[in-house]
Amino acid sequence: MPRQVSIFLENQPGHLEKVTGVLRQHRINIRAMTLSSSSYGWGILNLLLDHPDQGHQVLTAAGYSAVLRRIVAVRMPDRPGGLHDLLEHLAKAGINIKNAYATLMPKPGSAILVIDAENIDQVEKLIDEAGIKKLSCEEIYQL
Amino acid sequence: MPIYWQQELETMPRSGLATFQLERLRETLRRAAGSPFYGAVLARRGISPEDIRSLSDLDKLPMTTKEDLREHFPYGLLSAPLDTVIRLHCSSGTTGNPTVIFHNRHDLDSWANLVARSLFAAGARPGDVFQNICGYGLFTGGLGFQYGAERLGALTIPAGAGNSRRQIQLMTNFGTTVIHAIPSYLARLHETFRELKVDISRDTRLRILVIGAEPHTEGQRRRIQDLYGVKAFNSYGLSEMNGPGVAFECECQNGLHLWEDAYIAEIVDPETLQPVPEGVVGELVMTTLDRQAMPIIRYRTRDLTRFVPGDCPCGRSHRRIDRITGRTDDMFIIKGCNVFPMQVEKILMGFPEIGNDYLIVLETVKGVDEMLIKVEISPHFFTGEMEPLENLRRRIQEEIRDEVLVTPEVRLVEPGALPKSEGKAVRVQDLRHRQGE
Repeated sequence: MPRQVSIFLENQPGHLEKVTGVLRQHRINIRAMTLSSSSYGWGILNLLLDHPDQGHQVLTAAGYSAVLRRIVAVRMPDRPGGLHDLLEHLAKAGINIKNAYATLMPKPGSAILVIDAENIDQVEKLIDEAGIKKLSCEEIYQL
Repeated sequence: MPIYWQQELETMPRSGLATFQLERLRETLRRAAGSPFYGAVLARRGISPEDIRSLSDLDKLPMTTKEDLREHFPYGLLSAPLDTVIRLHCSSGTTGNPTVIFHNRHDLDSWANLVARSLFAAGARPGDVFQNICGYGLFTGGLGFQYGAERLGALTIPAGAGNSRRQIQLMTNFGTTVIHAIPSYLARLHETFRELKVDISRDTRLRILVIGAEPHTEGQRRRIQDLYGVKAFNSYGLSEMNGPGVAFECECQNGLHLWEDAYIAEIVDPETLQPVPEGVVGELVMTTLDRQAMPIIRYRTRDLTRFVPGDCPCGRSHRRIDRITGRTDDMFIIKGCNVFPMQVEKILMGFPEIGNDYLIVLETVKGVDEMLIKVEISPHFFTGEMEPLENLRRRIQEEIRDEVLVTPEVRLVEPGALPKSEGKAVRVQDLRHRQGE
């Protein structure tokens, strides 16, 4: 099942750069990312990587608090209303999204939505039941 | 079987002890007046030793600080001719002039006796084999315990610090029954016991541990007792008051008897310098009563402790102090509240979600003094979610506010971002003055 790497990060100049430096050094590619900040001087960086296990390992070795978190990625059409149509389905299925981010597919015309939620098993089940196609690990990591 | 080294002195009724102290205090002042420093202090205040009619007159005398010792380095407090002095101990002096303490033959004799008395109170006896695992040289723990244990009549092994395999070899070769070491080393030494598969209860004759020279909690003591399967007794001393043998736990292990025939102890509020009520924590202030070459009067030890109320079942009349809970050097004032880093540390150590290291930063933000506490989150606790971290931050903030009455800003930082707790870690960074300039 697909996973992202989440990292605890202080909200300080240069801290994000150090993380990307570690990834560059190990030739790990970032497919997508989000950074969310608390109002207390720190935040969480979510990284969708081409090699999540290795990324987790090298960041942990570099001293970061990093974890692998399961995600669900679904495809949507890259046009006005594309995300809306998808969310309509998800809302109908009763899925509450706490954290999500989107990225384009290399193939023109489609995009993906990455969903990071606490009750990920439940989310997967609801998405399957709604007949929405999930992306496999290979599809995501080799975006 | 006697349980006292010097029964008459150790069990002397309080009233008799007070008379004894007063006599010795006058004698001490007469000697001190012979030193350049105290000669000038007493002259300036117009006080002669005869003006001290009761122990409560002690507050007519000014307190002595470490800075006084440094400023009048090396001979300013020497009260005896230099050619009668036979030993000195001094601090490393990494932050200025060292502090040096001189002893004549009587002083060394008196000190050795106090250490022997202390060890006896903890249960050591002539015939014991005493292994002294600590640095010799200028540090007082080495020679202080060496001479004291010899005075007791123990076979005394000057093992020195470190080299765990050799320590264990000495213990098994010579049947060591009593060990003196710092608590953190005993924890490390036990690892070596395990590696070498030496069983302490089967392969050694160990029966008593003496621990000191390093602040530690009751929990740490219990852990060491569990590891070694014998009792560990707390020792307190400081070089300005000779070294070890100032205060020591008896077999009751409930506070350290401070030898009041040799020292006057006061516990004062570090701000007002007025005595605190019995049982309340304050700064320990001490006067030597039996040191000839270099008496020191009302010395501010900077150590925080309290008198343990009530009598000790062991029958000794000398009051007990509690284990040292911190140093006044560390205290800071913010928004009118006195705060000790130990208070903050105690709260933080109750949170398994954070690491051992922390940093308190005092800063002026828009003209207002603020306390910022940085803590490292433990990698095991991080789940990638925001909420648990926000909750943790709020809980730490609330608990510290309840303890010190100032609301801190709590900042979670990345692992490894703070100075390590090994050695002299910086726990408080006061940036207020720098910012005000």
